[in-house]
Amino acid sequence: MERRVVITGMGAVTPLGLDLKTTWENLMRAKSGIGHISLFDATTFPVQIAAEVKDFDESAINLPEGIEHFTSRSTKFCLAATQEAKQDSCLNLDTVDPTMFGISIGGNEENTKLSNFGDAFAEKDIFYSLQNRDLSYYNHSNFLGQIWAVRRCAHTSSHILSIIYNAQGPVSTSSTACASSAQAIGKAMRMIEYGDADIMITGGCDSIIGEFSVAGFGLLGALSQNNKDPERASRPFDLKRDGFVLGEGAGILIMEELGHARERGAKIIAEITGFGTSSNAYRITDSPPDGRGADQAMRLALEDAGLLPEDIDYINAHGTSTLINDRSETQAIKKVFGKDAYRTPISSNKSMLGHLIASAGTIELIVSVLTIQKNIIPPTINYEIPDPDCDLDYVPNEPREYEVNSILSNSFAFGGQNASLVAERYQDVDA
Amino acid sequence: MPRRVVITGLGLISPLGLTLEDNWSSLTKGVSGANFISSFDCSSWKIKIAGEVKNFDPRYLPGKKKSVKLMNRDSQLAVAATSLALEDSRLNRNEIEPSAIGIAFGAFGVQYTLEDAYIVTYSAAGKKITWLSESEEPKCLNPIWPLTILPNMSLCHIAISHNIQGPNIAFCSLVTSGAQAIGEAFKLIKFGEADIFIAGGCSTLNPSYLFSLCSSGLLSDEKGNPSTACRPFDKNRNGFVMGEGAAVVIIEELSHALRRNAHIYGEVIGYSSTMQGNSLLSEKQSFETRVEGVTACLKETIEQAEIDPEDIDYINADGKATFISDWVETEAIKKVFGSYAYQLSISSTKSTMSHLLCASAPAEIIVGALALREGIIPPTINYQHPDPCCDLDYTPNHFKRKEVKVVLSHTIGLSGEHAALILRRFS
Repeated sequence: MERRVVITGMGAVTPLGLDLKTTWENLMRAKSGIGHISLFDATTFPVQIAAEVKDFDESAINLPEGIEHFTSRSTKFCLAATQEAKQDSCLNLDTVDPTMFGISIGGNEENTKLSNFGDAFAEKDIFYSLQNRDLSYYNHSNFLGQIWAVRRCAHTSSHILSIIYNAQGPVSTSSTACASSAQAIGKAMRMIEYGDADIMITGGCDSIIGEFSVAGFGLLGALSQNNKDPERASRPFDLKRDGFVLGEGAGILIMEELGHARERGAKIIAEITGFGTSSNAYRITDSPPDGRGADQAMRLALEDAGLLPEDIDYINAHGTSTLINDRSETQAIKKVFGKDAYRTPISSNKSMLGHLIASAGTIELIVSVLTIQKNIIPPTINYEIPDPDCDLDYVPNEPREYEVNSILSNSFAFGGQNASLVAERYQDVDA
Repeated sequence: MPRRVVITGLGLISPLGLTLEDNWSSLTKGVSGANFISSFDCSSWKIKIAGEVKNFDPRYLPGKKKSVKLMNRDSQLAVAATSLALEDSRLNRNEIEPSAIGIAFGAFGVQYTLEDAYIVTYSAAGKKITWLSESEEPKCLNPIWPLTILPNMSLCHIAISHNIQGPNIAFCSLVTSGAQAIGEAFKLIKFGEADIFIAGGCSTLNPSYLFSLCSSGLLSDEKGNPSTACRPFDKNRNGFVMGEGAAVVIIEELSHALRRNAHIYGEVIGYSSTMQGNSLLSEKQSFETRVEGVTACLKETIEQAEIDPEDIDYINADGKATFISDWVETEAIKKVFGSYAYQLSISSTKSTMSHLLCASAPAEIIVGALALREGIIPPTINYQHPDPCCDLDYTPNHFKRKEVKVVLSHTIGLSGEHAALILRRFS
């Protein structure tokens, strides 16, 4: 007897809002969440723009005693989004069997900002050690002495959630760059399908807007350097695109086995019906220009959902606004959809939200589920000059009313890992 | 209709050796792979011992030399262990599409040291690095470097070097990552997602991580003989020895394996991963809660396997040689197995191999598979002073000949994560 997986609650903290309602309203207004970096001093950096979460009150998050020290900014986003999702789901923890309750989060380690390195060690110590190749300065480091590696790692968010919500079932973390949360959601879906859990908190969080990541991704040449006009820097599929914009945020879904949801009278928001992954086996940097690999993930997701390409009403693209991704993703979509590629609306939320890295997959899935609820597709903004290599319908600049019953959401990671998810309007008939 | 899943190939690189044979030889002879750390200078640290992989030469890795240069050591070990496992499985790559093979892998985290992070951050802020000469351009200032350190890179390099294009899942859940990788691959095959997976984990001796762990009090601070540092279940145990390595299994659907006359090491019949932690690194957790957590995971795995506890012949324990963990594990085994606990053969191969973090569970599953085949239980070495709280049969100091039909491999994470997997001889 096949177990069906449904979404019963959603929450998100994004550069366009501290709750889902605000984020959606801003997406409908075609607003950009991108601006000049304020989280650290980026004035000497070649890249000075990012999509930051605004006005987030880190001190307002309720934490169990003794946990504060371990919670990074991204974990706090995660907790806030989970709070919203739990409220949305009206879940009563007293009625949940903890051994059938799991967590699957896509996350990243938080990078230490230059201003915090002082917690790690004194600058003179590191200079000395680097000159002399001597690691004795570690002995003076409070930071390392507090088990930095283990307490502020990608897994910390999952761990803290399991403590707060008493989840004793499978708890796992995915850290696969841009595909992290899509993979985490896929894993959660499988865990419910296979009967390892009846209910999962899943999604992802990320907050790496610091010198390290901005420098790192900048060195790769992957980031847009349009510092003069931040709101127009992220322009997926546009001919003048020059790279992605780093963003931060968190998105959480409460996913449940259908019977479990019905039994407690939960409102069913949508059904997750398909998940597909593949590896490019190509390079750690770019994806194959012909879209190979990405097409496989999409096909597997559709097969898993039991749908044909023509059944998809909206494709939420990975659409990072890099030269390479947008072109190869377009090719991949054409490979899978054939002629239907031209008549299926596609848009990239990254045009407004920026690239939320580990939290991109989950937030974009949540936005896609909202398009099913509202029958409106958010646009790809900043679409001004069409690129002949990207000639599909990207819902340019304005939201579009459209009947959306099934969506496909893509996440393609550096290193060549691809993940696609299919979600559908919930039908009250047994499959 | 759930399908049956078997293990058909093993690849292991550890402080005990670069081949399966070398590893098994040292395991059974009770030879330790721990040594004074030689790969970096830690003379001023409290901890000076680790399990290093010796004589590993990345020049022999498959794939382009250019790709190899981009790999961190843990990716190199992962790719090499995958080569061994694929070879061992005798999978004919001409008879299977690259997209039909999946990868499930566990990695510890971002592979950088604090110094690297500082150099990149510092130079990005426009400040000049004056303390290095012109010719010593730090590796971390190379444009590709930020990508090379991501935790999913070992999985990506396996895909690239071995041309594997199928489904993939990565785990970054600290120590249980490797167990989760094999366990989830088992489930995916059982329920029809794929017919064959490469599954495992890798870890390397990152100085920043090592130091972090050593300040946690979890590592043995043995000053004298490295071989004696890790003493699971012994009254004087004082922590584990961190090690590096990679362990990979080829895990396959049964009829797929039979059709190609594959050699079958054993059938995976149960897997479970749970969480019972109410504070990070279980510092404030009560003894009872910890025992409950381990007990629950073991019971669930046995239930899933649809066997009786008395069907199990050998437990490859977590046995990480910390005071609390070994005691908790012993109590939980008694709760699950009752009086039969005293008839079980148990051993901790961390006593010889060291704790390979994300590679530990896969390595220990490999040990279990070899125990099934050879009818030999490798010993727990350094067992000299029995602890009345840990009074089971830990196969002390010498290997034991015993017919092993069912083996359970057990992992206790550092903060309440649990995983267990059961392998049964296939007939």
